[in-house]
Amino acid sequence: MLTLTNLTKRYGYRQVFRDVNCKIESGQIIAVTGRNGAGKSTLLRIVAGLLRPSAGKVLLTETHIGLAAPDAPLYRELTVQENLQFFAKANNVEAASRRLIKRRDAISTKTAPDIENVLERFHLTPRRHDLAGDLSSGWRARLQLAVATFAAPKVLLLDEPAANLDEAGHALLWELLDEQRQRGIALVATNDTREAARCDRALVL
Amino acid sequence: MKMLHAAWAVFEKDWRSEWRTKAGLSTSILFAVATPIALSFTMVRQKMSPEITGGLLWTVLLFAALLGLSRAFVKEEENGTAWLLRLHFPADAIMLGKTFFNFSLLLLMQIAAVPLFLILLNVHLTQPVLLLLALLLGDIGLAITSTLLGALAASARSRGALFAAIAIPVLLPLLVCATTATSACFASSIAGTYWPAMQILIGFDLAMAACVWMLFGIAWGS
Repeated sequence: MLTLTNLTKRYGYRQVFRDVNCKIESGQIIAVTGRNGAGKSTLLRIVAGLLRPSAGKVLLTETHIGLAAPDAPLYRELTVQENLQFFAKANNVEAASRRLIKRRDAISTKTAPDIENVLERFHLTPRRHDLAGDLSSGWRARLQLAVATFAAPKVLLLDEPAANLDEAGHALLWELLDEQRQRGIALVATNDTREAARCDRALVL
Repeated sequence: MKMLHAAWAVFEKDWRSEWRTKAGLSTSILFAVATPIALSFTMVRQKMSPEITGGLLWTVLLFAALLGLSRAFVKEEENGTAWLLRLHFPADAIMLGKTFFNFSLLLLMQIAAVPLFLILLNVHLTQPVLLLLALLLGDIGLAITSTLLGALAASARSRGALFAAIAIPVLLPLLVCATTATSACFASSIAGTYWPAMQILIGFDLAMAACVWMLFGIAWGS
């Protein structure tokens, strides 16, 4: 599903990582670990197609990607609900979900999410009308996770997802990652050894 | 259909965001309203020729537009949300959404500025419908051009300054034609310069639309 071949990234003369090789099959959760500045976030952005590698190749058979990163804020002037609606329109999740409900197909709330279900699942319902810019870092992390996962992407890229989450948030994160195993792959950039230990494999940079 | 749906989402998001911060709108309208007021004090006893009136009107509109139009992409880069757009939306949808946002911003600014300009400077308008047409075609060209240049300038460090620096030379043909056509609307009879200027303006708009269609993906880095 994802193959990295001799992947190298340099910023000017500074080499971030060199000759990274990895093959990831569907159903695997991979921890991307390494010291600070090793290039974990950079690797995720290269896989997402937001950065170009200096050398090497990324072969990805799926284009439906979800990405959450702590340094990438959402739209601060929009409320929690408006942020979700905006990204739902990008993926047409809301419309698809409405059609499914109309046809009375047997759908679980987790596989065909609408905004209400997503708000409830991520415990964001009480904060739905708050501006994203006014949220605490923990709530913002939940919202970023919701945006990254609610369209059920085949490839999920999470950059330090647990950094600002409480216990309940951790549990939700692993519930999401277990679901991700059923539909594709996930790359989780982390320095937390306990978190890395729960993944299927580790890619050390 | 999905592309239009996504373009509408970008347009709606930009307006919602703009309405709450009023960063681009207030700057543009303030400039576009304050300049005719200042001009009205200095030109109170002077009779201006149609050419000077048309030139002044487009100078006000151009600089007011440059203040607001660069915001559409600059704020995405400044807030760190540009990568979210790149990841979730196709480049065509972003281009369409941002172009319509820029166009509507220009229309709103002109609704506030143009009547005030005409009243305060005591301009004798002979061809109101043709003036509207000239303003509309000028706005379309400005909106299309600023979408491409905004995307190009957004990733640079001095985004605002770079946008203005590259926009003015590119917009020069539009400015000359729009000024010529607008000036003809203030003359006692419609001058023979109006329709040739409008033809070039239509040509400019079409050429820029083709350029944006082909180059936006590269400029936006999708």
